[in-house]
Amino acid sequence: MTAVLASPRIYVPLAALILFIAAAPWFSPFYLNMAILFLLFAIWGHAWNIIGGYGNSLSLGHAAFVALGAYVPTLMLRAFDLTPIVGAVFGMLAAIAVAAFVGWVTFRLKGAYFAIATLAIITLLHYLTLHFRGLTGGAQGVSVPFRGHDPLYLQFSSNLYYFYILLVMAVLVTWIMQRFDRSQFGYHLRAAGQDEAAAQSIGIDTRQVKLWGFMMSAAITAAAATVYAQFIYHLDPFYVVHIQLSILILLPAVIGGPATVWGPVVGAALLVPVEQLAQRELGGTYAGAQLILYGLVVILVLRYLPEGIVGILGRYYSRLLARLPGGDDIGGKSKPRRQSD
Amino acid sequence: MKKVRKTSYKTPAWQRGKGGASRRTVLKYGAAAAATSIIGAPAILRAQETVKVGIVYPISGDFARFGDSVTEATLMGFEHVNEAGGIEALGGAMIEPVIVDIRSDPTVTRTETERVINDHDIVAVTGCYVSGLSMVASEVCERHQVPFVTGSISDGLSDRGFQYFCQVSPKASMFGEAQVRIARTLGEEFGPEKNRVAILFEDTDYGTSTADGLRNTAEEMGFEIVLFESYPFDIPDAGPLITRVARSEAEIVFPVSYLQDAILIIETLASRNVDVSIFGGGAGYLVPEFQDGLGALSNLTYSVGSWNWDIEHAQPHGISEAYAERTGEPFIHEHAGEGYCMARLIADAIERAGAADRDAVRDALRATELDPPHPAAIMPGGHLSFDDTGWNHNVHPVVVQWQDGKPRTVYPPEDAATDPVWPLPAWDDRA
Amino acid sequence: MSELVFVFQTLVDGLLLSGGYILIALGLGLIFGVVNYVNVAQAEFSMFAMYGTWVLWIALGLDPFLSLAIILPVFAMIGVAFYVSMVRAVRTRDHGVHILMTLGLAFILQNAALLIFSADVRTIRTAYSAASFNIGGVSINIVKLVAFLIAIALFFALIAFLNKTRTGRAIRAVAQDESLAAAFGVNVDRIFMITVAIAIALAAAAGTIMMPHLFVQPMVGQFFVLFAFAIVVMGGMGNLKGALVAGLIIGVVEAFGQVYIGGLAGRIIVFALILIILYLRPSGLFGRSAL
Repeated sequence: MTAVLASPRIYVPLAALILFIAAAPWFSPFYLNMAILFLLFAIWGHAWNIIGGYGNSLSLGHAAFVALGAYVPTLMLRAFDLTPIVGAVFGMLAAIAVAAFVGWVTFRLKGAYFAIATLAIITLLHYLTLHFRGLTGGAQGVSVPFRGHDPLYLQFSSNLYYFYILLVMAVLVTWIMQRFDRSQFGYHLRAAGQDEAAAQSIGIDTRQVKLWGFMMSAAITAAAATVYAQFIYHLDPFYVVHIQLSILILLPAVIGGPATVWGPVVGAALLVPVEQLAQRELGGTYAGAQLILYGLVVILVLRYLPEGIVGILGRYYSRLLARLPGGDDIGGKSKPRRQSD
Repeated sequence: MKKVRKTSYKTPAWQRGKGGASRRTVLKYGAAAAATSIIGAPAILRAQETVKVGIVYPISGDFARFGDSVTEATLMGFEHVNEAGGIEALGGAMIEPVIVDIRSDPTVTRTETERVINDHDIVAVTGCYVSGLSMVASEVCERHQVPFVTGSISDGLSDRGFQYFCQVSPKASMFGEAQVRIARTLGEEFGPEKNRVAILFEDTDYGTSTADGLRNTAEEMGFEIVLFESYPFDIPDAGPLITRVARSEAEIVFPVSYLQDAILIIETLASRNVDVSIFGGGAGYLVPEFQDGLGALSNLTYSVGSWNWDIEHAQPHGISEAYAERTGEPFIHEHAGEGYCMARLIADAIERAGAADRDAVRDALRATELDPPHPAAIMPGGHLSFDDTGWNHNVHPVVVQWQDGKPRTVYPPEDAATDPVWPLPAWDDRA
Repeated sequence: MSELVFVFQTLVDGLLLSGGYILIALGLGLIFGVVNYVNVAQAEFSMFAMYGTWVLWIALGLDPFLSLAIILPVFAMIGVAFYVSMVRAVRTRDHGVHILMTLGLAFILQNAALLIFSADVRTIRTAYSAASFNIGGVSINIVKLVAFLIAIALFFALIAFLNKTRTGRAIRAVAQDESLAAAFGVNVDRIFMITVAIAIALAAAAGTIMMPHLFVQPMVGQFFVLFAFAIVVMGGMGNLKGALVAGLIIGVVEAFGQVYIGGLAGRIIVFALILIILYLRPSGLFGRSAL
């Protein structure tokens, strides 16, 4: 055990994590809020990465799963007084069902069709939410009933609790992704994403594998969305059920490094603070300026760094680790593990 | 540090709306907000010199047109207070507005409202024009125990039992009632009686919440609702919608719209010569752009509003003239009028509270009893006071009619500035 | 009025509105069919063309339909710049890469428009904007009719260009077999550049002809592109004639949904239809023919 801890591969991230946890109570509300959004988008980034990165199937519809994870538990809370902790399960099931349907329709098609189908599903859900306003509150959206400090209903007097809940989720999801990355499932999904014909020739049912990946992705997205709903406490269909949110969800993984474990985390750690600081410092002076920056970064990263920034960052990181105590076995040359190439 | 905002526009907001970019206003606000966040940090040291109030509106994004002008009117209100010597009870303390842009986005509203509460020692927050955004901001304020004063109209706002919430405006459901009532009254007084009504509403919070009230009252008053129809707020063509109206053989149309859709609807009704009387639902029907976009076709259109520039209680204070001079718009629209009212109300509550303290200001707000000619008591109904839910229960909407290029108040009689024109002539004779 | 009048009125409304969407979808399909590139920022070029038309009208008083003479060549040049900077280097990579890169471009263009023009809605209302005539009770707006006729004329001009001219035939050859065309001496890169230039000019034309009866704000393209994709999916990716027919069908379906079911039903049906078509006939109703 101590031998494991002696490796900088373990103790560096662990130390960073402990520091993050310990420092959180001293964050100003602004930075606490930033940390919460970072965790949220890291989780969503992980989720998107499963299908969009490993599965190489571009989903533009992940806001649909956010919507289901946020709306379903909230509506059940309002109707049956059901705690969102249980409601989350129903949100995830709904998301899985929709993912299964969309995947079933489109995974026998290639290329842009899946992207277009996901675009259609989020647009459809947006209009359905507006149309069936008796159920969803329509354009007025729906509020999470305020119960004061009530941990059983995920309502807290301080945002710090949301931070810790999301932190636990983020660590858990990152751990799952670590395992997934090396699992047979992960290997198959990557193969299916990279070269469908080759994957089929070695006996992988690519359609099936992608379908499972998509459903897993949807479930994780919805679970985080349930916590998000409690944090934001008012769901507005023009934000929660909207393509724009889908795009914000895919950016961390795309910029950080698709089909890597740490890509979405690094991407979110870069994008969320930039967004928040730009909002605070510019205060609307140049509305949308940070989105222009986003656009430029996306184009440049895709053009020149198809592996995402985690590709270069990882090399420096490995070199750094090699110099630390216990890092003799790492060596500056080892690249972070990615793709099967 | 004194921070009286002297806003002297070279380019009035009205002109910017046409040619330039309203970014300039935002630039100005941005600079002001940045300045306060740096200089305003050690607030405790200068406790009594200024009292801060958060102004939380969407000054960029879809609703910038309205958020921008309500912010402007609110600033004007605070400036008038400061020019008159500030808050006497606090030794002439100036009111320092802290302007926040919530970008027409609920997540930004959530985080920015929280930030302004935490980073600044503000005693109250006012916003957000858009009901959906006010829902979010009021939640944040309630949870942080900061008074929130709004002119948003959604019924959902005041039915949550909030303690730090004040709403000066009529509720959405009442607008429908006023729209229906005048249609009935005009028919009864002048004839002919019309019974078949169509209700059209855009599909955002504003339209849907108003439309429900419309339907209920119309049913109660014995109208036959032949069409109850929502449409997307970014509707590219009103053709099919108007075909639906024509098909329903409605005689009266109650459309609840923002600006662009309002113009499309009237244009298409006129070009198809669909003979209906129109009682609009505020917002788009009450801003100068409505007349700009439609020209003569705008004439004689009725609309309901939460306030109007020519109502009696507002006259002694010269608000419309001051606003017109400041922004270049020909008159102050309903929501900007409310912005002014809320600014004066908050200042008065701080005065009565005698302390720059959130709870004291809340108590003072809720205990408000003001009568005209107080500059905060300018809403229809005059007397300004709040019930247990924090709603100004004396208020009622007014009905206006476009006459000679301006919306004039024609109903109810106690607020009316002129007589209604009825029945409406054919489309060709509206000019 | 009789029910028949309403049916025809709805038919006319649906048809007339589809002109702009068809042009956007044509450009989308042309780039896809020839260059094998997916451009989700297509409608953002329409948005900028709308602003361009608006600026020409405000500043010079130029009639929006006449401004096509300026807008078309300018946006063809912009199309060349777009090809060189955004398409050429990543053309052979996944569609996902194309979509993400052009999504980034869409972000840039939308927010650049926000910075330059603000979020305010801009309209052009000419003296003849409200003019309409009446055939047996069916009202036809002249501005929309002209816009629609220009769109159809551009469609047939494009088809004629592809069939009758040397360059057009080269484009078709490249669409069918890139390496074979190259072997016969066609400068493939130049053909790609011309194709993208035409496609962007078509998107711009769509914006310009819609401007007199519509309005522009920075996010307006987001809505157009959804409809354009619906058309492309229904017509078959890269099938231009399919796009024309699908565009007309979708316009009419949306209008009838709105009139006879109501509310958002038109849009709901259109997007549900995409999923159904993707499942039943992924190559579109009219197949994926080579141009």
